[in-house]
Amino acid sequence: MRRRGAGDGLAVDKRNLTNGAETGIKKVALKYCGGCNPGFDRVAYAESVKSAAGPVIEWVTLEDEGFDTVLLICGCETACPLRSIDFSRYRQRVSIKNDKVSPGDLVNILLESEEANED
Amino acid sequence: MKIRTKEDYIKSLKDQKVVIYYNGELVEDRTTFPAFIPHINSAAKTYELALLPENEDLLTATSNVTGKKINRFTHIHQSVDDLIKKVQMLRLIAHETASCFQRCVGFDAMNSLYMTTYEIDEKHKTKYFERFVEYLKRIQEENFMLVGGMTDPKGDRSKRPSQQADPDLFTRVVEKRKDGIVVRGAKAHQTGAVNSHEIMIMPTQAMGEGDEAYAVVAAIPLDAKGVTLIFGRQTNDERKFECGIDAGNCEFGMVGGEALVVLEDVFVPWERVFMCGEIDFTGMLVERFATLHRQNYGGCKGGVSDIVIGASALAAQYQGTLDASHIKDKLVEMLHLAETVYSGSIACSAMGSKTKSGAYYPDPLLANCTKHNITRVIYDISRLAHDIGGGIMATLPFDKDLRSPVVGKYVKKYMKGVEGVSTETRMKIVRLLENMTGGTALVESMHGAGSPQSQRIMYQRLGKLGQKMKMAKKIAKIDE
Ligand SMILES: Cc1cc2nc3c(=O)[nH]c(=O)nc-3n(C[C@H](O)[C@H](O)[C@H](O)COP(=O)(O)OP(=O)(O)OC[C@H]3O[C@@H](n4cnc5c(N)ncnc54)[C@H](O)[C@@H]3O)c2cc1C
Repeated sequence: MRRRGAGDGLAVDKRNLTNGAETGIKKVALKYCGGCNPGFDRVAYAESVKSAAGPVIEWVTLEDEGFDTVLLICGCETACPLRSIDFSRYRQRVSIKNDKVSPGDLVNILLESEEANED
Repeated sequence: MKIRTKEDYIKSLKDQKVVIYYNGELVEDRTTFPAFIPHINSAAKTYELALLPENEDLLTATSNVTGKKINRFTHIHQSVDDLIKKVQMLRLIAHETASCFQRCVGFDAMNSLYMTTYEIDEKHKTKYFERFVEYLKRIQEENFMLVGGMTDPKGDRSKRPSQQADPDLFTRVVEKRKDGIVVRGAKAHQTGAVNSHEIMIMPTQAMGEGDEAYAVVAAIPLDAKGVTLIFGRQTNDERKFECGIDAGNCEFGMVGGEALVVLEDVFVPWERVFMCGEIDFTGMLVERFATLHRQNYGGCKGGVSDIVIGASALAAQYQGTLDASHIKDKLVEMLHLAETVYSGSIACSAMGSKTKSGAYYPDPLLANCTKHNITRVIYDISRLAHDIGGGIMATLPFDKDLRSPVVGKYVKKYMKGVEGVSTETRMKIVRLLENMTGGTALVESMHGAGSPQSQRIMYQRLGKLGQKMKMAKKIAKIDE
């Protein structure tokens, strides 16, 4: 299941999500591309997403366990990690290639349940 | 990885006592010596960025020999993706330092040796590859910085090594012992030498019969007995001591802080020797090292050029010319040139192939083309920066004049550009441009990784001229 916002650099890839309904806190793994020549400040953008999310998201890394959603922040359209990392084992992958999506909207997408997925 | 942080790196340098001369004086502590600090800061970025989640994809890799996560500068390329990531990484780090960060030379030495020792062993039934892999494991584990020591002083360039009046002008083996070899000579222009841990010496050119003693590859710790480093003088080097505006880029170095590394009868145990007399593989090693090194230049120089372009645009903005059509056009030209060299580096990586050892190797013709473009394009970019920046780049008063209680008011008044931007801000950007586009900074683009003629020789060899003549004949319907 895949949703793409036209020109907003956003892609959502979902399969059988288990959301963090029991605790009310969702674990999301944050992953960046390498950042060779990014078109925006990826770290500043991630920080604004984190502050928009507040305590409802617990941020972890791909090396951690117990998450099924990955937020992938890439500096350009190439999105190298999509080539080099197998994301199919994660249930939901949200990838960003520019900073056009507002941090608040992105948090909503990350928190959306499977039923809310429009695909 | 034992050396992880900038602090670990500096401590490791402090712990290793290396004999270094600067301007005729012995340097007591290389980590606190003012002329070396900017170079240490540049190289330290290769450690610091590897720890950041936003850069780890480029700065780290998984070792093919241990399976562990390592710094990419100690990695052996395992795929085309690795080759591309190398170039991306170089552009990224250049954005942080605006100068050379020195670790690529050792990186390229390791990759070229991994491939070549494998093939030497295949032919000569030697054990160099096995030895080299053991050495590599240690470098990966320690995360050491390695100097890539290829260039010999060379004396009379028209003569072969064994024909020189002074046989030491090319580095050579003067004694073979049961437990190792004794090496004498020197390596010139050694990038990052004063702030590295070891040097990998390699032959400077293909060696012929009679030059066997010069066909030597060995890893030498820089604190080994008989090793002396003499630091090279750079344009405006003493400005760095003031840590003010005049340095242009006072935190980071200019080019790689090169040194002459003298090897006065240095003993090297056999486990650190990876070629000794195999003249038939010297050409292959030199070509591979050169290709891997030439691959880099659109990455690092592309990244450095991004800063020059940004600084040129700011200089124009600060003096009210940014909206002029010819200035915009010159900036576009600079962007075009920077992306052109970057494209070359990406292209030679994308067309890379697997060697017998399993390690990946960039396309040599395209890598040479990339470096050859650098010998021109960086001068073109600098020329445009000089055009945009104005004569002030050559005549700007001192930082101290700006701060002088007497003449400071004149400098502020007459060096001012547009309203809303302070004179100090304008001076900073002009000095940065001056620092990055003149003198020592430019010569690196010409000779680093080989003078232009060395790339043109590769065109003659790899350019498939005969095939092109056949294709032209076919189109022209010529049968003879
Ligand atoms: C900033 C910088 C960093 C460097 N870093 C390193 C490093 O880390 N490790 C390393 O090993 N090397 C390093 N080098 C050395 C670099 O590879 C050499 O500068 C380059 O190979 C040219 O050699 P050379 O300087 O001796 O110039 P020369 O060989 O003196 O070349 C000068 C001119 O003479 C020509 N020439 C030379 N020999 C002949 C000949 N036989 N016949 C006809 N023409 C000839 C050349 O084509 C060129 O036009 C660095 C150089 C610079 C400038």
